[in-house]
Amino acid sequence: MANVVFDNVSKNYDDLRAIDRMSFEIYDMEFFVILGQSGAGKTTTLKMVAGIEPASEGTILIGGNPINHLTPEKRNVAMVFESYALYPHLSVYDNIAFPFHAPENRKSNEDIEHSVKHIACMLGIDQLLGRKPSELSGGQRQRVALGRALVRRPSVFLMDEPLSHLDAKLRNQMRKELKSMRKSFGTTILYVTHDYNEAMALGDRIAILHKGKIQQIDTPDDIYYHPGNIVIAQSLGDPPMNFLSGELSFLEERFSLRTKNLFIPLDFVRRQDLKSHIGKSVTLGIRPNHIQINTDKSVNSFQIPATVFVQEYLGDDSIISVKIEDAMFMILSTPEKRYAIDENVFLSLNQEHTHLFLSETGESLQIDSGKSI
Amino acid sequence: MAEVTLENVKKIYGRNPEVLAVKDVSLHIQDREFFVFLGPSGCGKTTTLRMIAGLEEISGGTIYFDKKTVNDLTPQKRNVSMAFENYALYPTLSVWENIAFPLKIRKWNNDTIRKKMEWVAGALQIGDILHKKPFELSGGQQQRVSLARAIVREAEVFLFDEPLSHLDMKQRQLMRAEIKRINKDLQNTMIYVTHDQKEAMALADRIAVMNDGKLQQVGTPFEIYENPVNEFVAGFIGEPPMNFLNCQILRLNDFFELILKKQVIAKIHQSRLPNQELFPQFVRVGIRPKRIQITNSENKKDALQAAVIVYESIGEKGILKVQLLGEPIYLITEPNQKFSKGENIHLSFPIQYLFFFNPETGERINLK
Amino acid sequence: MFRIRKIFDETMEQDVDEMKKSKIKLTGILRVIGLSAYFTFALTPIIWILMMSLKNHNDVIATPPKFIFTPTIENYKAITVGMKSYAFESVRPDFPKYFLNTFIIASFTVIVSLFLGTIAAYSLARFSFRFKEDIAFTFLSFRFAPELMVILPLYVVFQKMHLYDTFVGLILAYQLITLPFLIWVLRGFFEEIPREIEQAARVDGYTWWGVFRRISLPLVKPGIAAVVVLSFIFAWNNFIFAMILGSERTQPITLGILGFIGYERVLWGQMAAATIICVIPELLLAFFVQKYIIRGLTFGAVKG
Repeated sequence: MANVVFDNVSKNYDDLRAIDRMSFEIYDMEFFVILGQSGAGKTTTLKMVAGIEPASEGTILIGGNPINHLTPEKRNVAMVFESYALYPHLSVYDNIAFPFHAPENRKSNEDIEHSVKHIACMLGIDQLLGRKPSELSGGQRQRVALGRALVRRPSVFLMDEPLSHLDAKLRNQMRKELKSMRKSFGTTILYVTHDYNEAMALGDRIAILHKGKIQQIDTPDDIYYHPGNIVIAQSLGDPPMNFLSGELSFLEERFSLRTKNLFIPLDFVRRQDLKSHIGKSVTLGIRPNHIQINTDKSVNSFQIPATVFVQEYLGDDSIISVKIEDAMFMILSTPEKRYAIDENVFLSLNQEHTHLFLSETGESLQIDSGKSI
Repeated sequence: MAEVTLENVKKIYGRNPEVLAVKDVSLHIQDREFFVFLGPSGCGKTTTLRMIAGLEEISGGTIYFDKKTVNDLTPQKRNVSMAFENYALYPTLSVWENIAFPLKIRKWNNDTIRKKMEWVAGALQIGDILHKKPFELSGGQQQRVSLARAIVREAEVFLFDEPLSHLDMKQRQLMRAEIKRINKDLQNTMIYVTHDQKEAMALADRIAVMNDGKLQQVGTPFEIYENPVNEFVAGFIGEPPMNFLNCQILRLNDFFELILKKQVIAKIHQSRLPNQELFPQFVRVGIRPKRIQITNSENKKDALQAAVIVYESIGEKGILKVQLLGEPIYLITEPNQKFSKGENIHLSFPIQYLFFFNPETGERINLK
Repeated sequence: MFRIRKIFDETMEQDVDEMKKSKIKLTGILRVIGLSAYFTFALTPIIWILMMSLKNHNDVIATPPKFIFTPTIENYKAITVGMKSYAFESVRPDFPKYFLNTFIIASFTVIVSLFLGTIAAYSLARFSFRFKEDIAFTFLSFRFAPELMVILPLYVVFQKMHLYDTFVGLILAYQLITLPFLIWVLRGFFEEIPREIEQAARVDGYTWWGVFRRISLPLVKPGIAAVVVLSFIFAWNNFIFAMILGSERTQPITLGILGFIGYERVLWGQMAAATIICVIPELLLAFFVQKYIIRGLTFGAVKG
């Protein structure tokens, strides 16, 4: 039960800068998710909070107290490891009870038994207490790892990709369970994942971490609908966002994107200060579910001509890959309509959900300091 | 370019002839077809593929390529090529040499090899990495090279063993589209193994769903999704998977009522039942998460009350988990809805989207 | 690694040629023949010694060798309780004393090695410090030189320090044999424990010492069992160190057995009986410790 503050924290491994000046606050009782590719520095961040890795620079505070100098056992944090890291020689019961035998949080045997049983019931593993980790399935081990972390009341609960080794079905199921149990954790949670579904489903706020740098911290919806740069835009969504590069031009008081053969009007761009970017290379971004695909050319509104590359039928919906000049676009559509390979189609973009980025830096041209166009 | 036919193909591991990894699989793969074996791990799909490749002995039955029996032929003589889950690139050879390896061993002349290489490099967009060594490549690039090596030969049948499982989501999506397109362009028979239902649906002309060594159903993705033959197939396809409820059936005048814990969840007119006598008293009712409707609370007459457990809004869609009469039910909704935990909502199950299964055998019961 | 290797091989197989099945069968037969040959080679001397220990003197020296004879336990009696059944008792060595000596030396050697070695191995496996690899290599290099090369300087040192012919001295010298081996084997075992298990225990509230005691040590039990058996055998069977650095007071069995080769005649039967008795403790130890030597105990800790 405490907030966590990163104040200008960096981490160097020899010459490599794994974390670069990270500053943010995780509020008390918040479910905070760090989303990033492998190698982005997510696990390093967690390990710095746990005290397994020392921070090279900056200060980490838990509940207002700097903890840099404390060894792991003094920090009162609990951690669930990606690999679960169960103690193979101990039974499930002893694994969960293990923290209570440490001098830091010793308890009487009755208290231990009570706590272990309580947590085991909550996680549905009360029948497995006598088993060894090697006798458990992946999902059960996962629960034991959760149980061991939850059994005491840590001030911060750290989770390192706890679901990544489960198969797809179990993962989706556990995700929902985590979310519904979340209130009973009663503590601040720092959760690390590479799966945007987990991040969006679980997080109160998400921090996007890329190459050791925090890109954006926001609520899931804000990050999804108002990404601050291309990297952020790419990290959420399945299929991922589509991009088309061209030159920003301004004709007859209208902005448009000029590619090799196309002139795409950008009516959603209203900021006049973009005029300074005219002539620069920009990238248009749009999500697969914000594109409409038509077989006939409409006369009323602008449409982008494209040819069908391939269509994938998925039952619930369908993904149509099309080529616009050399760029591949994916469109999420209903499964009923079928398209032939190399068929000519016309795309209309939902202007409200179209994004524009500066190609050179990747930064969004729509988002100022305050998130509006 | 060949048809592949499996006739009562069996695989026994170890000494016990009772333990079958593959049980009497018979199917016919057409020329130029993209055919996918789908199933959970351990279902026998990879074993079947390896028997087709000739990497695994066939314990019983026959495999034909066109009309020719290939049971006793070595992999080389079968003229198949294969891409593996772990890429299996030759680490000491450059990308170019890796891809050209199977051609050189078949003593193609240099001009033909060069032409073939140009084509494959273009098709898989690896033109700029041809001189590199495998360890210098990213996972996605290694996978492209491994696919290139598999398709560069003019093999009769191309075999793929979960080639995309080590790629991240974004690359998987892209490669999926490309593989499918290559199949359409090359017009070759391709046999593909995966445990990912989405991948199978996206790629296949036809899917063979396997479980526990047994073939469950062979059909187009549409047939598998819209017309599953049993509960296993119905539950394996779709994410979240189909919801299943144990219902009792009671007759009321011309209607049969589906009853879940004393509450009627739907009614079927008797004329739609295939054989009223054979219709069991209890059935498993299945409905896909996308097909459940949320009705507004004024229209409560036929609606069922359910309590929200969890709602996830993940970009393109929302997933709602509710409790209906003690049973967990998943729904797919629009994103950005507001549901709070414990909130009561009302559901209705449109009769045309219900599937019925025999609770004992799991077999589908079709309505008229 | 193995799996990748396997898949890789399969590709090769497919692209080049498949291995003929008959070849596989042939290797199977060859394997059986090879194993039987080795088995015979390894067991014959032991059986021979056992037979020898049960023969009377005339049977032992009979040519051609006798395979059928009346077994006798006289040899065993002679070397243990000292039945004077032969006229040559003056050359009879004090076998029980040697046995006790060996036992003392081997046991304490193992105990000291285990204590020092476990801590050293853990430090080498887990902590990073300067010259770590050099130190590790130095330990190993103790075993490079032939024992004889080390032993002469050691002899001089031992004389000066009054360690010659003392148990302490021998136990110290034996560390040269057992310690490097123990450190290198246990280091491997410690390194095999996933770091995350230890980190988890740190986060659970334990100091590094607590983690070592409660997690790491129990997890390397199989390794410890294996090195205890092997170190004990090394120490038990050592000959050269004991010969040069020890004398009458500390003489172990290995030297004691030499005593059966007398001035006038060789007591083959008693020598064989002594050898057999000498093997028994090693067998017993291996037998009791065997159940701890189960590898793969860490399986199930991580992923799955």
